[in-house]
Amino acid sequence: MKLLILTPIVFPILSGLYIRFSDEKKINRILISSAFINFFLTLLCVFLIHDEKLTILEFSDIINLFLKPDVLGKIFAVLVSTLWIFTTFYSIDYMNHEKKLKSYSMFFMMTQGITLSIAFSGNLITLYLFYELLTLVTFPLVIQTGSDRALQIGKKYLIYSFVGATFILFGLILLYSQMGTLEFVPGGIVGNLDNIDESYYLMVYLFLFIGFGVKAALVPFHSWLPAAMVAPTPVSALLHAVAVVKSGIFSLMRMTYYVLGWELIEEIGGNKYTLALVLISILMGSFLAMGRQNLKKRLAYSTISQLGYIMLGLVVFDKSSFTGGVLHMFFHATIKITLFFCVGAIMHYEHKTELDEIQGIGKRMPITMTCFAISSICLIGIPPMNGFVSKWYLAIGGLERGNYIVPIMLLFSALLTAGYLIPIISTAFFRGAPSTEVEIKEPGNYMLIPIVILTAINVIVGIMPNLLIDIIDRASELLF
Amino acid sequence: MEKLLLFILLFPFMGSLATYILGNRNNNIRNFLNTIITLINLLVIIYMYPTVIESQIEYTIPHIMGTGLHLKLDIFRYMFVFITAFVWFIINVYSSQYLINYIHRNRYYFFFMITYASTLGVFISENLVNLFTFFEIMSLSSYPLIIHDENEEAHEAGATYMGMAIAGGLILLMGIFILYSYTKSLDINYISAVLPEMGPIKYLISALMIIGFGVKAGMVPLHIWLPKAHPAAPTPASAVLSGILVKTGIFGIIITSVFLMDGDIYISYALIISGLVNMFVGGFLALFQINIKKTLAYSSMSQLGYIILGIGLMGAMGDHNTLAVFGTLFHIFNHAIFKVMLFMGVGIIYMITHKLNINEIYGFGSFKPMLKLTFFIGFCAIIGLPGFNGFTSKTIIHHALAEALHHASPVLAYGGEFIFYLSSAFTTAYLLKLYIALFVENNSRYYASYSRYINKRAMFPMVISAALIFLIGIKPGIFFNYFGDIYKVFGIHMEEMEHFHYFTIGNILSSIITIGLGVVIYRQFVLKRLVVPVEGKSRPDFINPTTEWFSIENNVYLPVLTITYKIFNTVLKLIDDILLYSVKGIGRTAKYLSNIEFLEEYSPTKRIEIMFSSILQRSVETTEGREESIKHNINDNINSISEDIKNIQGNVNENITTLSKDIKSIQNKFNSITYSIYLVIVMLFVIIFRM
Repeated sequence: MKLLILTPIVFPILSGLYIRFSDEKKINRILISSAFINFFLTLLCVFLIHDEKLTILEFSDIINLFLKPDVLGKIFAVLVSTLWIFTTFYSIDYMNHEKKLKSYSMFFMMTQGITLSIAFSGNLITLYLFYELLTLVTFPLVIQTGSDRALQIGKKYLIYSFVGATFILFGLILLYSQMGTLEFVPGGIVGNLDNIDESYYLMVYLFLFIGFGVKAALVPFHSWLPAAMVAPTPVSALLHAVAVVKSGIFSLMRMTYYVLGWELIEEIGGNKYTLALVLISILMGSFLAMGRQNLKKRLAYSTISQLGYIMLGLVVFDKSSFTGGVLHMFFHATIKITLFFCVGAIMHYEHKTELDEIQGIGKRMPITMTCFAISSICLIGIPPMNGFVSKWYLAIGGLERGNYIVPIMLLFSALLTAGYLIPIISTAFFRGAPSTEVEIKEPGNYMLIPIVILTAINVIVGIMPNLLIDIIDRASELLF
Repeated sequence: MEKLLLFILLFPFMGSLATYILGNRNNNIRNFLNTIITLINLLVIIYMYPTVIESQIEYTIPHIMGTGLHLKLDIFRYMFVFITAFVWFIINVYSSQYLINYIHRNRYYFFFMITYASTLGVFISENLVNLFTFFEIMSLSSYPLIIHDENEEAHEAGATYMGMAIAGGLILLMGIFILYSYTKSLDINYISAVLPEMGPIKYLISALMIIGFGVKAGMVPLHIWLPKAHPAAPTPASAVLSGILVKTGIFGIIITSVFLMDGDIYISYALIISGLVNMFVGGFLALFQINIKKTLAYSSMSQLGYIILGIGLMGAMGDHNTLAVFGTLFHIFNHAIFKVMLFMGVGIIYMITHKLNINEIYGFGSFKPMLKLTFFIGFCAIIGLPGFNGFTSKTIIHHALAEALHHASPVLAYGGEFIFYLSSAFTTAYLLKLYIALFVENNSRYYASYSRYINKRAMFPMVISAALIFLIGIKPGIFFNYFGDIYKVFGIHMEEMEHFHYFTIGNILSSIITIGLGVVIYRQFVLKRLVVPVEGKSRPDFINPTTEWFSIENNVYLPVLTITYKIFNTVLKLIDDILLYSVKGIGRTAKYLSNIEFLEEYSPTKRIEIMFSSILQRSVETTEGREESIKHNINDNINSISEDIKNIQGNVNENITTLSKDIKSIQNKFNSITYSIYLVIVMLFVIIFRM
C-alpha cells in the first residue's frame, strides 16, 4: 500500500527511459497514455494514502529520505498531473517537426516524476534533493533548440539554480545543527523553544527564503525566467506555470509553514524583509512587462509579478492570505498555461511573436484569442473570474493584519496587469484592416482543445471556488 | 417568483450566446430574436410588478463566487430595472435599423446583450461583491461597443474609457475590501445597520466607493471618458451609455450615501457640492461643442449633476427628505427617457449624413416634420418647459434644494440657487443652439426627404418615448401611482409628496425665467462669441475654443501617469540592470581569478632581473644609433640572457599551458559549481565577520 506513493514518481521516469529506447513513431502514443496513467496513479495516491510514510533511504539522521503526502502536497500533485495532460497534448502538436524529439520527450516525462516527488516529500532534505534533480532534468528542455543563445541561457539557468541551491543548503545546515530534524510538521519544528537566538533563525529564514526564491523568481534573482523564454513554448508554459516556479513556491510554503513555522518568523520579524522583496517583485514584474513587445517576454515578466501575489500568502501570516496564496498558485497555473498556449499557437501557426504583428489576429483565430481574452481577464482579477477570488482572499488577509499596503499593491498591480494584457486583446481583435471575409485558421485540435478546456476550468473555478477552498481549509486548519 | 429574478438575469446572457451563434448564419433572425428576448424580459419584469409592490423578492444561492449570489428586488430597484428593460427594448428595435450598414454586427449584438444582462445584475444585487461583479462585466462588455468603428478616434476613446473604468473599479474594490474587513459582511441591508456606527474609517470607505461609482456617473473630475466615448460609439450604444449605464454609477452612489451611510451629513454636503459643480461644468462646456453627440454627452453630465445634487439633498434633509428622494428618482427616470430619445434623433441624422459637425449638417431637419416634432418634444423635456416631464422632476429637486439650503449658510444657499438657475439656463442655451441649427436653419443640401431611411423601426421607439414624455409631463401623478411605494424602502412619509403642486404660478414662472435667461445666453453669448464668419458663406460657423483650454486628461492625468510610469520604470529597470551586471561582473571576476597564472618557479630576484632586462631591451630599442660599441656589448649579453630566459620560459610555459588546459576543461564542466562554492565562501566571510 505504501509503495503506491512511489508509483506516480517512478512511472514517468521509467516511461521516459522507455521512450528514449523505443521507436520514434510510438512516442506520441506513449506520451499520451503515460500522462493519463500517471494522472490516475496520482489520484489513487491522493485518495488512498492517508498519513503514511514511505522511507526511501535512511543513511543517518540527516540523510533520511522519505515521502509523506499531506493535503498541501496532494493539491500540488493533482495540479501538476492535471496540467501535464494538457501540456502533453499541446506539445505533441507543437513539437511536431522538431529535432531531438526523443530526448525532449524523455526529459519531459522525467520532469513530471521529479515534480511529483517534490510534492510528496516528507522532509526538507528529501525536498532539497529532488529540487536539485529538477534543475538537472529541466536543463535539457531549456536548451532544446541547441542554438548558441539557448546554450548560453541554459548556463545562466544552471548558475541561478545552483546559487539558489547553495543558499538553501547553507540554511539547511544551519537549521539542522540546531534542531536535529528537518521533518515537515504543521506549525513548524522549531516550536515554542525558549531563549531562541533571534538573529540566528533570522539568518536561516532569509537564506532559505532567498534560496527557494530563486526558482520562484523573487526579484533579485528573477532574470533567468524571462531569459528562459528561448525554450519551446510547451516548456515555457511548463516552467512558468507548473513545474519549476511552482516547485519553488511550494518549497517556500513548506519552509515557511511546515519547517520554521509562521509564529517563529513573525516573532523574529523575518517577514518584514521578505514582504518588501515580494512587493518589489509584484511591482517590478508588472512594470517591466508593460515595456516588452515580445509576447512571451511580456508573459514571463507578468509571471514574476503574479508569483509575487502567491508569495504574499507566505509573508502575510493570516488564514485568508494562506488560502489566497494557495488558490492563486492553482489559478495562476491554469491561467498562465492557457495564455502561453495561445501565444505559442500564434507563434507556431502564424510565426508572429511581437505585439504589433498580431493586428487583427483575433479575426483569424477567434477561438484561440477569445480564450486568451477570457484568461487575461482572469489574470487581471475581474470578477466573476478565478483571479478575483484569490485576490480577494489575499487582500482580506492583508487587511486583517492591518497591512494596508497589501491590498493597495494588489489593486495597483491589477491595474498594471490590465495595462499590459488589454492592449494585446484590443490589438488582436479591434485593430488591423476591417474586413468582412476573413479566412479562419484555428490551430489543430491537439492545441485548441487543451486551450478551450483550460479556459473553461478558469471560468468554472472562478464561479465555484468553494470546491477548492474547502480542501485548502483542511490544510490551513492545522496551521492557524 | 424568486426564480424569475434569476431568469431575467440569465435569460439575456443565454440569449446573447444563442443569437451570436445564429447570427453567423442569418442577420434578420438574430435581430428579431434579440428584440424578442428584450421584449420577453420586459414583459416578465412587468409581470413581477404586483409581487414587488406587496413585498420585496429575494433570492440567494450560496457558494457562488465564494461569497454567494444574493439578489433582491424591491420597488426602488424595480424602477431602475424597469427603465433599463424598457430602454433596451426600444433601443433594440432602433438598432436593427440603425446598424444595417455596419460590419461586425454579430459582435456588437453579443456585447450589447451582455451589457444589458449585467446592468440588470447591478440593479438587483444585494451582495456588494455581486454588485461589483456585474459592474465590471458591464464595463468590460461595453468596451467593444465603444470602439465598434475601430478607427483611431474610437480607439483613443476606448483606451480612456477602459483606463478609467478599470481604475474606478479598483478604487471601488478597495472600498469593498476595507468595508468587508471591518464589518465581515457584504450584505447591503446588514452593513447599513453597522456602518453608520463606525468611526472615521467609514468616511474612507464611502469616499473610495463614491469615487469608484463616480467614474461611471461622470462626476467632475472623473468625467473625462464620457465626452469621448459618446461620440465614438454607434448611436444605440451611446444612447444606452448615456441613458442607463451612467445610472449604475448613480445607483451605486445612492446605495453608498443613503443606504450604507444612512445619509451622513458630510458625505451629503460633499455630494451637493459635487452635483452643483457637475451641473455647471457640464452645462457650460456643452455650450461650446460643435459635435452634436458631444453636446449631448456634456448635457448628460449636467443632468447627472442634478441627480447627484438630489442624492446629496436626500441626506442633507434628514427625515424630511421626501421631496429629494422623489425628485431624484423621478429625474433619473425622466432623464433616461428624454436623453435616449434625443440620441435616437441625432442617430438618425448621423445614419443619413455620417457627419456630426454642426457646421456641416445645419438645416438637416427643417423639412422632416416627424423627426422635428419628436426632437422638439425631447428638447422641451430637457429644458424643463411646463407640460413636459423634465419640468416636473426639476421642479421637485428645486423645491428640495430651496428647503434644504434654507438653514444652511447664505453663501451656500444663494450660491446653490444661483447655480441651479444658471445651469438650467445653460441647458436651454445649448439645446437651442442644437435645435435651431439642425431644425430651423435652411440648407439646400438637405431638401430631399430621405424617408426611405427613416422608416418605422427607427421612428417607432422615438414616438413611444415622445408620447411618454408628454404623458408624464401632463400628469406627473402617473409615476407616483406606480412607483409611489418607494417611500417604504426609504422609510419616509408620502404626505409631503401628495400635497405637492407642480403647476403653481411660482413654478411656472421660475421655469419661464430660466428659459428666458437661456435664450438671452444663446443670443448674447453663443451667437455673438462662439461664431466666426466664413468667406463665401452667409452663415457663420460655430467654433469650439475649449479644445485649446486646460484639459484635465491631457494636462493632469496623462502627465502624472507618464511621469509615474517613467519614474517607476527607470528605477525598477535600473535595479534590474544593476543586478544583471553585478551577476555578470561576479562571473567575470571569478573567471579572471581562476585564469591568473603564477610564475612560481622563479625566485624573486630572478623575476626582477627578467623584468628589468625586458625594460632595458625596450629602452635600448629607442636609443638606437648611440654608443654602438656599448650597445653591442650589452646586446651580446642581453641576447645570451634572453636566450636563457626563452629556454626557461618555454619549459615553464609548456607546463603551465597543459595545466591551464586541464583547469579550463574542469572549469567548463564545473563552472557553475565552482562559482557557487565561491559564493558560499564569500557568504561565510560575511557571516563570520558579522558575528
